[in-house]
Amino acid sequence: MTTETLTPEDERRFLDEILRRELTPSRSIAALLAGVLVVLLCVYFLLETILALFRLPGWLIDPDEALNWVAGLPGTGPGPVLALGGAVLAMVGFFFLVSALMPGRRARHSLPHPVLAVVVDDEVVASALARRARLAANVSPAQVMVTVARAQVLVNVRPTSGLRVTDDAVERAVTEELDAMGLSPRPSVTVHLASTGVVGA
Amino acid sequence: MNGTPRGLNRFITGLLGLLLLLLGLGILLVSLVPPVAQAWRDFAAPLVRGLHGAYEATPLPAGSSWLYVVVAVVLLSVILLTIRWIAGQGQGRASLLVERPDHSATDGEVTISGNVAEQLLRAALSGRGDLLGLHVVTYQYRGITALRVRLFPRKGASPQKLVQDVESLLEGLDLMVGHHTPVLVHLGAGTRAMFTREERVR
Repeated sequence: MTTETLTPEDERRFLDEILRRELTPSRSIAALLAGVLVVLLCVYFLLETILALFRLPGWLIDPDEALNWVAGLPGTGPGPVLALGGAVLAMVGFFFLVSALMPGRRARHSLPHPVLAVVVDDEVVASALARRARLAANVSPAQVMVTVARAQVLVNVRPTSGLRVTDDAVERAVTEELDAMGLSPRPSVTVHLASTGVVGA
Repeated sequence: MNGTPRGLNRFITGLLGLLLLLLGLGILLVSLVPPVAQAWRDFAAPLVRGLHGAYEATPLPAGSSWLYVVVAVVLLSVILLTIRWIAGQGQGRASLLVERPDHSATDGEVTISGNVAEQLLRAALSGRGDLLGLHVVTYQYRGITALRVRLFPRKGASPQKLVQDVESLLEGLDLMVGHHTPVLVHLGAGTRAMFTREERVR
């Protein structure tokens, strides 16, 4: 094995693919759950199969009896319990299906860069924007709350009582910081000033 | 940036989900709607009779029926394949940043450990007030060796400034190592950032 240097185009393509992978979830937790479920079920079936192969009594239920029971459903057992079991199975199946089919997104943005692949967690973006909004509104850190979603930044400010704050000024500061960051996709900014102020902050 | 087989993850979890969903809905219908239950019993009875017939027709001297041997082999291979699939999650770490033959008079080849990158960046960034920590991991993805630099900025730190400085440090690393490596920079919010204050003075 040797490490070779890539051409710039190949490297860009490689980095873009890495970026795409960093911005979408890998579904490894759903995969792990599915794998554990499949292995446990198969190990149990294997145990019963081997017991039946050597004509030993089954551990929980004999494969023969199990087949008869399945073919005779709903059988004589309590109906609601069986229905509940079916509903639970269907819900577990729905969870796996949704986690596989939904496009999914990690709480991150990419930061376009000529030579690197850069991703920033939304929390990091939010704390940087909160700092700027706080300085623009002249309030303490506890009076600013910033939420960052894929295409939207929501800035909540509770002004200090007696000090005038305009949402224009806060929005300008936050937009300026966002422009300097150059996130992709670039979120829009919404500033919300609370109507009541904080006394003595 | 690891080798997690994402397409396979989606396919297998989706398939399992679809099977469980259909099975659950089937049980629900059979237990709640009598006509469906009757139809199921009429459908399943000949199948079970057929299976019993096959079981009687395949005797095994030491055991009951070699159909069970076939079932056991199938189950065992499903278990092994599943374990192999799960073990492939998150693979792809490498230890060497550079490994290449050396065309000098002396025999041997040049290898540089990925720790070199981590130590260099750590030393260069140690004095910074806006950075709480960093991890550097070497990965091998699609046969290409690349670095993943994880930075944990302090609350309120400006991401673009950090990235700018790290980029110039990485250029230095390329010069020092004599080899250009593709790099992913990830600015993450670790638990430490949650419990530390914002930097007040710079």
